[in-house]
Amino acid sequence: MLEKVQQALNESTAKIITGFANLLPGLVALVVAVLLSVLLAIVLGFLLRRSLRGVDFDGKMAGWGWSGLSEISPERSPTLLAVRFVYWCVILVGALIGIAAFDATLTQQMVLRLFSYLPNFLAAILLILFGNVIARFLARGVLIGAVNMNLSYGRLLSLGVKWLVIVLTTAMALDHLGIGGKIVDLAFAILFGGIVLALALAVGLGSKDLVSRSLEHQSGQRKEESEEQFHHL
Amino acid sequence: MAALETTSAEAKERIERIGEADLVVALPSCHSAEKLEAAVAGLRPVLPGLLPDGKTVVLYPDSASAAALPDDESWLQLVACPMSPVERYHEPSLAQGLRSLSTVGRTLGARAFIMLGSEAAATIPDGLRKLAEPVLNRGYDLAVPLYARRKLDSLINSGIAYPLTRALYGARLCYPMAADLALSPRLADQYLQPSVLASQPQSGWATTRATCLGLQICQVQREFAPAPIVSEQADVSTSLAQVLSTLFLDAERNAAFWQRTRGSQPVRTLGEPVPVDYQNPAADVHNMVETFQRGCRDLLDVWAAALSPATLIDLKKAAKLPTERFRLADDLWVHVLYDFLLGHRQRVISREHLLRAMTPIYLAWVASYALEVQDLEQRAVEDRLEKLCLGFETLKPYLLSRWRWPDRFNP
Repeated sequence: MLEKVQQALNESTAKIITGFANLLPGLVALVVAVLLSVLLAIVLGFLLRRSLRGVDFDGKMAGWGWSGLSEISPERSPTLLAVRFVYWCVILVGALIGIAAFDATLTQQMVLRLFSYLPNFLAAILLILFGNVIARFLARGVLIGAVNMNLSYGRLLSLGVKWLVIVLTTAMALDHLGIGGKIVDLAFAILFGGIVLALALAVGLGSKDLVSRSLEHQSGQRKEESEEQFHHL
Repeated sequence: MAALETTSAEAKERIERIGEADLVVALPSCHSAEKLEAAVAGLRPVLPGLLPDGKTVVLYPDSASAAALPDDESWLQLVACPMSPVERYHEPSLAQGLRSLSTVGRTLGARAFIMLGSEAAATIPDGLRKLAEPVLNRGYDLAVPLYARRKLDSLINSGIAYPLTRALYGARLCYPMAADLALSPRLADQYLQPSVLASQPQSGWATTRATCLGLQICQVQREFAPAPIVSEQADVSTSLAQVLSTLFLDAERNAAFWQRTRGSQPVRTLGEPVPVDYQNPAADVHNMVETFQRGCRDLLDVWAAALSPATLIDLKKAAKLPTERFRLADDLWVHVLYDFLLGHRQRVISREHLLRAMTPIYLAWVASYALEVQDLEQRAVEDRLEKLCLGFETLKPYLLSRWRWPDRFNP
């Protein structure tokens, strides 16, 4: 009996070792692929950084009016943002190739699904990126306009506009990624509607005086004396 | 021959039939029949004295073509052209008007080109006579008006345009943003160069262009500046942004010139100054100071993109002053303008946002200036403004060093 137990154990161990031995080449291929992709990413990153610095990419982006991109870039450098993006893309591709080296149908299907999902993922990243830039731009414009009009709730208005745009782009990004489904739609509608209602109340209640002064002016009544003393033009 | 592409087919045909003229006058502000009739009636007695045997062509907007004008005479011809109102502080509209005037004038071989962009019909004859005479008879290339000014008139010009252009270009032209001016053929040719004709949106004010070219300029004493036309009655923020945009773009375009100038030279002034009533009531500056204080609370992040840390600290200190003792030092104001000019050049943030963000600081300067001059007489006010201009000139080396070696502020 002891011999049979020993034989069964030896067979199980042999199966495990055989299974591991079958897996080993794929694992080695994965590790090699990842290492090679890291090496390639470093080389590409170095070359890209040198070439972008050579053409003053940061200065050109600022000159083309993309100063918003500097604000969300690491160390305020769009060059660094581009280099890191390329770096991680190369490593990701290397890892996916390594995973595909496993001779397993499941992993191949997973890689295929991942690749078909990639455009949606990239679109979502771009949406969030540009949404952030646009949100900051609009928020700043609203804040400056509100301060120039001497409105007391300028900051609130500016924050409201910023979060409106961010919520909108985040909902669009999640829709692209297919995450959440109807729950995200509903949550977005409630949140968006709530922000708009809050802004409308803030503007309506806070600008009563401004609206009444504007209506008086339109009906031809005299402007305040203080405004007539100064001739800026 | 200059191309008449900016005129309509009818106007082109009429100009070709006229053939030649000594003086071409553009009246873009006469866009109604009544205004045009009044203007022409005023011009008739003036022109024979100005040009005894010469011929004058008057360009007026298409919209006034229904005017019941008398038949043309040999010495006065009227031509309807597509023309928009010229906004004094909106340089593109002014440049567009000058291009059309120069095109027609050079086709006719005129000796002087007059633009009366902001003149009310009643003052056109006087404006024409005073501006045309230096160019026609004294050999000047550009004649611009020098308006009489009360204490709180033309504040953007007094606080920004005049001192900045004086420091940069070295010419003491009191009203650099002129919409009423007389040009010689030499200066008009500048508006016919291919780069200018190729619908370049902004080609600079005629005054800075003439100064950079070393042409002969004079200023002519006039009465008070005309009231802004309807489209100019935008809010302060919009007007200020327009003026600053033109000033700063001009500075970038002419950097090679102004980096070599040092100090400033007076510009020849013709005519007698108009007496001015300096009895201004006490100015209410509460709203302006409040706007500035609000700006210091809410716009510091925006200002920090362009202003140096030392300037920001000084602005914060100024915001703490009570309204009745509110003052903005000249040095601080000059640093702010120069820093904004540099920030505009480096595009630290959107240019539109940067220029509009300057409104609260400008209002602070206006409040400080109004409080300082409220009890001063004319001579003292002039001295006060002269002190400001000297401040701009004294601090020009600061601008030069930062222009040549730009650095970034990342507080």
